[in-house]
Amino acid sequence: MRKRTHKTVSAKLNNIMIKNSLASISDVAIYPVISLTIFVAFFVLLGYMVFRADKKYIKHMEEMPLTDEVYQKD
Amino acid sequence: MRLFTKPLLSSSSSDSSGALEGFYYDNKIVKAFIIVTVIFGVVGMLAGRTAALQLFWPAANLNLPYTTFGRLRPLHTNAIIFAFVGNGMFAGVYYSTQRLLKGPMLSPILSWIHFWGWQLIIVAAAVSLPLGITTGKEYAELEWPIDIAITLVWVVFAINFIGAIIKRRERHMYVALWFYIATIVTIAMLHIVNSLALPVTLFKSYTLFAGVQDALVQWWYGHNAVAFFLTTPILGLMYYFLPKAANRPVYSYKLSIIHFWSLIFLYIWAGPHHLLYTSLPDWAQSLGTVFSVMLLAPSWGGMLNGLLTLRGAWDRVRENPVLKFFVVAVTAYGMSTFEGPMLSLKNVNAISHYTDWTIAHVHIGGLGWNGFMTFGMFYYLVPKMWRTNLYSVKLANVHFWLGTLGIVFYALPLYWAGFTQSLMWKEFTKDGFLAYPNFLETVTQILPMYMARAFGGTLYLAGTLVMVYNLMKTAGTGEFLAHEYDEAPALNHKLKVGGAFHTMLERKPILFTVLAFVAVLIGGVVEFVPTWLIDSNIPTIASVKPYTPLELEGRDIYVREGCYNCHSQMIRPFRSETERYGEYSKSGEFVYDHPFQWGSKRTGPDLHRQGGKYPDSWHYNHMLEPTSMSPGSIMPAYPWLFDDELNTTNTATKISTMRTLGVPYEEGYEDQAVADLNEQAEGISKNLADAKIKVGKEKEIIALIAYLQRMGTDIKNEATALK
Repeated sequence: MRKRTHKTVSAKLNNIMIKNSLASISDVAIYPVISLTIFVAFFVLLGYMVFRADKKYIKHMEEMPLTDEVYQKD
Repeated sequence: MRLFTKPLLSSSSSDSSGALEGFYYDNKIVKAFIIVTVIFGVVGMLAGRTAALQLFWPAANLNLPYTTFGRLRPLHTNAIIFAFVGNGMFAGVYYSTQRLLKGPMLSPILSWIHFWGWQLIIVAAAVSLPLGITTGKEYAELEWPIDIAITLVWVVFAINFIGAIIKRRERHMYVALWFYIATIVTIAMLHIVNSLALPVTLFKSYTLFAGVQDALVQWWYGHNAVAFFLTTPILGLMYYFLPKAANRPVYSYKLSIIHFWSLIFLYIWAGPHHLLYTSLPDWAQSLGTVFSVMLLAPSWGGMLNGLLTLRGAWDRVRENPVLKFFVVAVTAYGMSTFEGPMLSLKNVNAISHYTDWTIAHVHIGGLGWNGFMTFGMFYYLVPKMWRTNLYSVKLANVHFWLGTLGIVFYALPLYWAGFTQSLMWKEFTKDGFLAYPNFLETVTQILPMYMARAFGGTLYLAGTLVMVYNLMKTAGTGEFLAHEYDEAPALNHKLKVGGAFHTMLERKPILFTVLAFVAVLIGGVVEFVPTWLIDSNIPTIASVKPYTPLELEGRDIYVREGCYNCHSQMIRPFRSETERYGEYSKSGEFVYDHPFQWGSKRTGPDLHRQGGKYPDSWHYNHMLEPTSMSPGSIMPAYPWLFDDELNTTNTATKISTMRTLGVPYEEGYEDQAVADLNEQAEGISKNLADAKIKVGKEKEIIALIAYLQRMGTDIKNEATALK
């Protein structure tokens, strides 16, 4: 009997807690849509940029740390 | 997407038509950062080892407040993160940036302001943390004047770095520089937002955020401090020093583009995985989990890019100590970035959270990734800058094995301890009772593992000392080259260069910085906006009231002593936890908590429902001599709380500061606060007198007892009201 009371109290408290927290934001449904759009757009753009990159340029950049002592004089 | 019509110049020619210019690289600043890295590394590791000793031998705190675990652990974490890894990172950044840009930093004066400013901050931390001057937020413990100093020094670093990029002779920015840029802008953002606080005195402030919001901001910061202080700059160093040491270009530059953008974009969302099953809204927890799992892809992309750089050069790893350290570092990075997403799954987190599993995970990253990258870099840099050979490759190998075995001996016992303790917490008897109702049983069980961990840490420290000797001897045999001469053609800004969008980005530092900032901003905004839009900290619970002045002072003592380092205040909604501790924690219970004190590790039990569980006399005896109430306890004694008198000179200011932050103390209550404080203290003192304990009401212990007895009790009144 005591446990049941405890449960009811818990349920009521939960109700106070969770209800209306997100729903209280107007047009909350737009957030996940915006998030997903940004997310997909980001990776599509990134993939496109990498796909389009110039090979000679990439080779030049790759070797940059190895060539930074070319002019070095003792 | 060709933005300009002219094609790129060939890889062999310099893409500039300017006249050849001579200039000097500043090696002195690199040397200075190396020296302090080594010094603070040893200090930080010693602090860690002492803290580790205290976990099975509490007397190792020398019975002093300054060296007690709750104050020593923040000193250890701050020293390792900001002094050891931070200074090491600056050494590498200053060395590689100058060479990648073909020119010195913007100004040597700014370099030295950065250097000395950062060291002063470290000294201020080393003094203030043992004194108990702390904000009580993990890895952001430093108080507001030091926070401002950090901001200023960081801005100096940023100006020096961005200025150097603008003055550069190399048209395009190599990938390492992108990681440095992301580090600079993101750390600035994280540090400023998480440090927002209202000062009470010069040494005390209350964070702007409360409860759930504070938790979200703190772990957004905490998680991304790992990302943008311990990961991105080190990845930048990896992209520079690993190809140099292996003498071959990075495996795939294209992969590094994907690695960079996806890593910085995804990392920032994952903070809430530190708050699974807590009172944080469920959607935020799920977001944290989803992004943590996705984070595996860029992390492993980066790791593979590092390891595959060694393709065809693995034979050299056998002989070259620099490569040995790098290989283990990158492997450790791979292991911990695999483990991280796994720990973010709610079912795994239910077992791992609050246990030593987390500590083991962190140290694979800290000792393996950060430590070994730094060591490898130093074994490369010191002979190079002192124009000599490494004094002893043999000793470097000894260091390598001491360090590697140190990591193994450190981490494995803690994994074991984590599993063991968590399973013991969750075990029920056939009759449905907790199998180990006494928390202490689950602690004494894992003490041998704590001893093994301290042994592992000692091995690692010994290895570091071997390195110190080796590097000093190396420097002794060589001659330091303070200013290294180089030549490069000046950059012709009028020359139009073609290339795809990202190629263009790589020569537009300001645009690049802005876009990187946008990428890291998005995740934070998506998490914060809904949390902040939720009507002021709801869901509220009517019976949750602000702390009384005495409880508030007691809470400040709780924060000062760093109790949160070993005790959580967050009961998760598991039967094993509600059976042990009581009703699970609700977000509405923390609305007046500036700062939140949920903690992240249970070396001792959760304290959220501690209030009213034991009489005042129990707490009195327990704080004076923990083993008198809990035989075998590893909690330190706090004798100074019984000698020192509570300082109430700032109580009124504390009340009015809290009211400014939104805690509903009535206007003018601050004038009555001390009188109320004395009255409540009198009551506790009388309670203790009834238990034949004579203690003055003005002692600090009285305030702490008041706070401990209040914790988590408000909701019981709510339950009564609902009945």
